[in-house]
Amino acid sequence: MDYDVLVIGGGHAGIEAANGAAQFNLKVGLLSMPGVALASTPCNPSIGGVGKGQVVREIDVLGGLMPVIADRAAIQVRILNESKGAAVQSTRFQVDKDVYAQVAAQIVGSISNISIIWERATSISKADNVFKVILSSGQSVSSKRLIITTGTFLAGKLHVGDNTTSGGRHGCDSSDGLSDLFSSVKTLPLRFKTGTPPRVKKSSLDFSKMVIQESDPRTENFSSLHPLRDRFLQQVPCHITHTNLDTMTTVRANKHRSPMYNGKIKAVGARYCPSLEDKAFRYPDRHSHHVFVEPETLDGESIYPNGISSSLPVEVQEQFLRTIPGFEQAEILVHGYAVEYDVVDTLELDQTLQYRAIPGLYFAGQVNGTSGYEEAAGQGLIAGINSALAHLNREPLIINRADSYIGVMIDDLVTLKRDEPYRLFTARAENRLFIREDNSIVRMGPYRRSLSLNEHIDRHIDVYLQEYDLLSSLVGTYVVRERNNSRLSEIICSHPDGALTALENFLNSIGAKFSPRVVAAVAISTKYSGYITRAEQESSRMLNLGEKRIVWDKVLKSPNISTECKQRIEEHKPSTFGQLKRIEGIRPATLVTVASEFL
Amino acid sequence: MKMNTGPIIACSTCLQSNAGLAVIRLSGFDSLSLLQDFFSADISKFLPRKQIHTNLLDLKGEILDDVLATFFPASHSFTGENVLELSVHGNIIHVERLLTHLTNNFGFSLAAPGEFTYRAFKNKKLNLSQVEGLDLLLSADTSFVFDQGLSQLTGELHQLYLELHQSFKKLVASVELSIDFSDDVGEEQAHSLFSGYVAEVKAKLSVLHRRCSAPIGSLLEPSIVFLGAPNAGTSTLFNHLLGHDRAIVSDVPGTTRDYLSESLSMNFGRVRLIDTAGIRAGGEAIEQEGIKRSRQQISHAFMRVLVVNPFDEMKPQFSPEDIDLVIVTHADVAGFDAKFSQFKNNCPNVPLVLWGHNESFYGPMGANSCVGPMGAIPFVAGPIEPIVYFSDPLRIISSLADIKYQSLTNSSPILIARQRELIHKLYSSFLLFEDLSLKEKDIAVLSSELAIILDISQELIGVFYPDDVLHHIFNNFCIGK
Repeated sequence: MDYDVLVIGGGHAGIEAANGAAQFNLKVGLLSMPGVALASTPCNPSIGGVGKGQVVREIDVLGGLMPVIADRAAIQVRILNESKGAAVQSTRFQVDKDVYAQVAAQIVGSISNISIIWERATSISKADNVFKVILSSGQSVSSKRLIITTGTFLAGKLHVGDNTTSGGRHGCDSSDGLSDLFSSVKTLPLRFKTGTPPRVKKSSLDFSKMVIQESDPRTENFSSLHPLRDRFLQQVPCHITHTNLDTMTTVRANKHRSPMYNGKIKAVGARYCPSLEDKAFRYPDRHSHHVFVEPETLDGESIYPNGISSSLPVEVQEQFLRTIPGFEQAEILVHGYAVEYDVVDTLELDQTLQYRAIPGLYFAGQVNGTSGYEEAAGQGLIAGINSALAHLNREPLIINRADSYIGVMIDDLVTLKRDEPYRLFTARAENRLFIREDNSIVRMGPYRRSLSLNEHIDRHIDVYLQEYDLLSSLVGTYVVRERNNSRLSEIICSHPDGALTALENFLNSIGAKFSPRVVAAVAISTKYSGYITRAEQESSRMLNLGEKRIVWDKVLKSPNISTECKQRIEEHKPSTFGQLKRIEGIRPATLVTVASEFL
Repeated sequence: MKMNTGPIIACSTCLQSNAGLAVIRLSGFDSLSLLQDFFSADISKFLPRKQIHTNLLDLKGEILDDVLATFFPASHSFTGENVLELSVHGNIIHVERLLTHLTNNFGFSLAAPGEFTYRAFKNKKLNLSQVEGLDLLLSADTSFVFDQGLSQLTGELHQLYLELHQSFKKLVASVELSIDFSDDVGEEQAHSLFSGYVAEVKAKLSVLHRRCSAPIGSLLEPSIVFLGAPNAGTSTLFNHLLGHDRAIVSDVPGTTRDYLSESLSMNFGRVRLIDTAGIRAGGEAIEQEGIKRSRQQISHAFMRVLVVNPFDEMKPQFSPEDIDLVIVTHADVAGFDAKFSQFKNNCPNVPLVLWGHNESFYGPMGANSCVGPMGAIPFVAGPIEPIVYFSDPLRIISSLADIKYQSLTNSSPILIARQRELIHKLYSSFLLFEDLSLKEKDIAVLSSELAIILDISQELIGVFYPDDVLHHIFNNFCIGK
């Protein structure tokens, strides 16, 4: 079979990539490992979170699948950081992992120009600009564009205590074939590691000893095509408990049996996503850590104790689990384990996630060393859309880091040298006051429009932006006579009950009706606009410097820059001063030299 | 900034008259062997950082001079490049001849002002605040200023700035922690980290801010300014202090049209004495321009001495807190006592000196004898109270200047204007931030404001600065530094 775009890997990145390309009416093939469901959630079954919720809403506006699936599979929903301000507030959905996979299969299956192929790839070659993939059945498929989204399956290795097996996750094989065949693709010299906690049996837990956390009905759905707050499934609570001295002592006493700490695993995990062993040994004085007790499915027995991922031997896992309040009788369904895997050197990718040295080849998702379903989905969508645009000889879709977290992530991936898995969080964004959940359509709508597609979401964006512009100009110009001729925008900013209430009150008083998402976005934008302008003014000097172009190979010739910094510059090939500044390990002195000699 | 790229040369002793020695510095040449024709000694025998006694030769091999040469190979030199220092005989014509010889025949360019320091900066031998320290040290008029320049150069102040910056970064991190990782660290811990770092930053910043609060305007080039109404007698006094007729003295008001300045040595260093144009409204355009310049001098002065003629009808227009000393002239003129007693109650509450041009007035039997119940007090030594003295004005001025200088330098003020400005800016922004952090729950807003402050702090440690800052700093240097 011959495809326009072929995707290898049916995870969160893979299905977004396939759908992203299929929107352009291309013939898309999706090759997925037999026996693994599409868009499965092998780590904790939740979508969203601080920074990540913003990504899901960006995917929504770009026409992706994750928001739709997450809404339909949600069983407990929350707003994180609610008291800390709209800019850092994020949505997090606990999902039923079975429903999630079913909905994904149903949606992808219903897209007529995507063919799902349940086979493994055994060999890949490229000749005359066409990739040829031999399948395990012996048949072959070919395509001019190939998107690799194989997650942890690239030379994956599982660890539990002394036990090491090959595989990308529990019960699955690894895709060794790919490791062998992509010998010309540069991978990072060190492998990355991720892990999961043991899954425990719901009926063996005593929830009365834990703090209950109900689903919050005020939480808005991710998909802007869905009703604002209607839930598709019944809602169930999650619970919180804590580790204690006994838990940590048990872990510490078994240091020699931990593959992470006895030297067996040399790969690095994300500092920002520590395993229980990391917590035990990095913070020897702390014994109490949160454990979020999350159901994996609505009705099933499997519980995901979030916060205690571990690769200690099974019996140690059981021992430390039972020290946790509510877990005294806990029975393990599936033990925790660590996975180590190969990671593509993303500095070799361009902003469309295409491997520069092999045109037509794209990488997206965890194979790029990111953690998280949302990060994977965002990359998959960008790779999918861009592979289609390239196929159609159209301009690429490149998303500015000032407008979105997807932009921040991709810019970071292709410019920063990394030595640990990449997790998105809000501190990575310079423009945090602007890139929020509430204004995702304002930020991403123009990007989606540039694709000139005419789907349901495109019509929704048009209507939304019209309303938004109308209400914005109303707020910007309206003067309230009853309030000493104050500007409406000033009244909104200074209202003690918050900007949103102020604007809602005003609209009620004049009998105007706008859709709630438009009202929220305008109110919050009005509140932040003063701060955003101030930050822009104050840092305009730096920003101007940031956008200034530099010729990196000229910089390399300067005798005033250390060899170490030159190496980093050569690896990253920064084209602007801002990119140079973001390279990790670049010394202030180098920035001074470049700023004074090369700008 | 216009700087050279190849090897540079300059006389580093800023020769302005003939002297015993002058030091010529050469920097940035590829190899010492290129200079062999210039020396009688075998250049390959030059050892790093050891002085060699040799002759300098012209192209024909004739001896130009008998010198000591020291070679500092890169990167162990001031500029970080190959440097050669020549101690030559300090005749101006001779030094110029050597410079011409080297630029014409060995490919050297004459160094631009500050270029040696600029190269040291580029080659990371000095950081920005060390450069500022060097500038301070080289242009110091007083030993205090010199010492501070030296402490900048050794990096003591820079270290304090770095420590402040580290605390700022920790504060920023604690805010980010509370946004992105509050699930992991817990709200309470995140909050206590935040308030802890706010206190830490404030403590460090307050110490620096105190060192920037003392008015130092005048410490860099201390000046003592004499001011008074036209015809008050400032110029007569000025001439008396300097011991010669520097200012033109006449009875016509407005004779001193521009300010005059002379250098005088005091215990703590060199000061400039400045005689300003008598300040009055009206007068012709040139006189008004002179008055404008005088006002500038007055506002930058280290010490202000008000000169008053009690026989004059015109009243001086200065607020009393700006004045350090009042000198009442014409104490030797008949009728002084009556005039002075009318005038005395309106004087600012500062030390007062009675002075007459006629030497014979001094002493207990002089004109002062009938002032007040006890008369004027002879000034001997020690602290100076705001009372009426008679003495040689110079003795009182120099005692007062010493005391004032001590009190200003006691708090070890930071002298470099750029750093003072940034610290003031940091301090006031941080107070606003602290205030905001108590009122504003929106942590994203706090973080945005904090990012702005962090940029100022980066400017202080010299990571970022606008182009004109560098330009300004290096323009202060003279050739050969």
